Amino acid sequence: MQKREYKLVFTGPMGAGKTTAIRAVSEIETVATEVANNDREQCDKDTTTVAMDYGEVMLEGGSRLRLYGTPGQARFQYMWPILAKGAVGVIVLLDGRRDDAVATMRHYVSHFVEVVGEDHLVIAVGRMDEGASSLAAYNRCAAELGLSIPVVSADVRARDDVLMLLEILFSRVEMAQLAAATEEEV
Amino acid sequence: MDRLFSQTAGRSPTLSLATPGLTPVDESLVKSLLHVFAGRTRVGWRHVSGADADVVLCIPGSPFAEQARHCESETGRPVCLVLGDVDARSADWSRTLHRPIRMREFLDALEAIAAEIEADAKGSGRSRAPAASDARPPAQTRSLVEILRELHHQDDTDARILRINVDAHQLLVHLPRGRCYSVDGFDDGALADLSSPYHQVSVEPASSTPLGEAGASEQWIALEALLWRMGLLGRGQSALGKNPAHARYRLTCWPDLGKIPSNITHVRLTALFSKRAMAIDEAADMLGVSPDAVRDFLRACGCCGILEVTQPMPVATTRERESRRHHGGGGLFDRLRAALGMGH
Amino acid sequence: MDGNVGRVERAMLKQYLNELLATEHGLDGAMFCTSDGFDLASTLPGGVSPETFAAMVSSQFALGDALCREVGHKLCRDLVVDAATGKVLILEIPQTGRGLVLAGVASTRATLGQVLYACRRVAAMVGSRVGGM
Repeated sequence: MQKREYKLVFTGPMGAGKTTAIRAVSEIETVATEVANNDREQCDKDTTTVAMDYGEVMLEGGSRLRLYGTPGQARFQYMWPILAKGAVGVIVLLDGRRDDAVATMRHYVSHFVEVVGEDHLVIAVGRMDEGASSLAAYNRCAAELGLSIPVVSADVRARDDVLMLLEILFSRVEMAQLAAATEEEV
Repeated sequence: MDRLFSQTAGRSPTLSLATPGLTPVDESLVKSLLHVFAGRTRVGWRHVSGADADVVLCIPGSPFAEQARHCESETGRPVCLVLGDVDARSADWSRTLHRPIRMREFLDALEAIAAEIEADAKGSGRSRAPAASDARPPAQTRSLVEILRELHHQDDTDARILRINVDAHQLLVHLPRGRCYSVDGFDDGALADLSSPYHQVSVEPASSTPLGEAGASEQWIALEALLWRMGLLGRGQSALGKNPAHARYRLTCWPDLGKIPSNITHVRLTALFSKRAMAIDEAADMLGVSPDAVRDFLRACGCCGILEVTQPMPVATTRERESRRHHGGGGLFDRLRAALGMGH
Repeated sequence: MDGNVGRVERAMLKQYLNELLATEHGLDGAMFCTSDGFDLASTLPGGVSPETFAAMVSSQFALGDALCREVGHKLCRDLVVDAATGKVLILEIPQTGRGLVLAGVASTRATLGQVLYACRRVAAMVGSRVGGM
């Protein structure tokens, strides 16, 4: 069987949980580029990713799923196209406590839908218990952008939640292909 | 496309309702109930601040009430409805709503007032004298599922906690957190029963109880999860039955899979039905699951208010469907699932 | 965002930068920045955004660290990026807990060893002055 490499990108603003999500599922010790965080106004945490996070999941037959995390701060946006090139999908993580979460979603989705396409995007909103209880505003945002994209709540500290996000992404890509194929037949 | 549970066709006129002088709790409840009534009443209702409105709901004896009644007798507008205690009805006020506000009575009052205003507008010359209860149009009985769905979709979280009485059962709904609590718990039997549309349901404000005080926080379950489970368990009471056998369904958005008790089949069905409209048999064949499993899924989506039904398409033959059947998806996805320990 | 670097320290960094650029003619520009990509003091060639350059420097240096760790060489000290029309040097400032970085932009006329030596010397001096800040 031919060995293949697949790439998946976790993106989102600082503190949304990209590093945590990759650590939750990676089978190797993740590569992190975390340094001391001086931007406490934007996010009150000790460290921040400045280049990328990296993890791997080995697949049967020697193929590999590579997991990349982008830096979260706007000034590192130049890393987005570098990391997203050739990605099978992008998972956008958002912090549901933040007032600007929907605007942030719009920013990320507008960018990455151009890179990977609508069927390869998933939105995950974290910390919903501390923010708005409903995802209605996020779904409205997607509708306003003319997109049908999954928006779900997730706690990326839990491996099962990260697996759920991967499952949604895989199912979505898979079903989009299937629906398109059968639509042609219909 | 028609929404599966839509009960009102077309656009209706809108009347405004002001609530000057009401307590924040009562005002929040009124706003919430107007959300709940949206699309189900003879005319649309919107809440406005201040006292300038088609209808004013106020406390008897308050300056707002006197002012509204004066205007009403002079001009016929606004219509004044007073909010009083159970024994507060008096000859002074022809339209009385009793505290605590109950959904049914409030709905009846609004419908009666709308009917009066409509009759006036048509120049029928009918007097406005009859009390709300005398001019009662047929009120629509709303099921618990419909009420919970409206509460789940409303953005306005001014209201805090509502008590929903379902026959002898009581549920508490914490609106800002979108969670629901029942002292009896939510076992499958109870939920299957609650999903029946034949209960008497009323809504009223509850005292401001912090989340968790009425029970352990894990006993408060997300409204979407509750609706989802009621949909899965409510077999035989489904609105799906009203649709043609080969109706095609589509999801308007994804359910929050992080909150609902979903499985991988649900995820894949969601991906399928959110991509394009599809008939039950077609989806069942594609994924190799039973039509009943698809129906259960669609009923759950319907309960959550994310399902649309579209016109039936010509039915594919069994052979055609067989040719489309999906046998386990792409190699990549199966290998990923296997590697990550995800089961089918 | 200044990584606890005050105005006095910034002025001092700017002074070191000016001296470096004045004595080392192979350098077209240089910058002190925090390891998470904030510009502290910079003189860069025209058209180069200090904000973007600082972010990229921090990314590169962090990747250098990751790369060195991967091959068991512990932490990265310097990075030299050799390009068609020049070089970019990135150096850690010692004794600052990897909080500060010096980056230099060198032209083709620069001698790598000479520029690297000059930058290391300034980095060491800055480290001894602001170490622990």
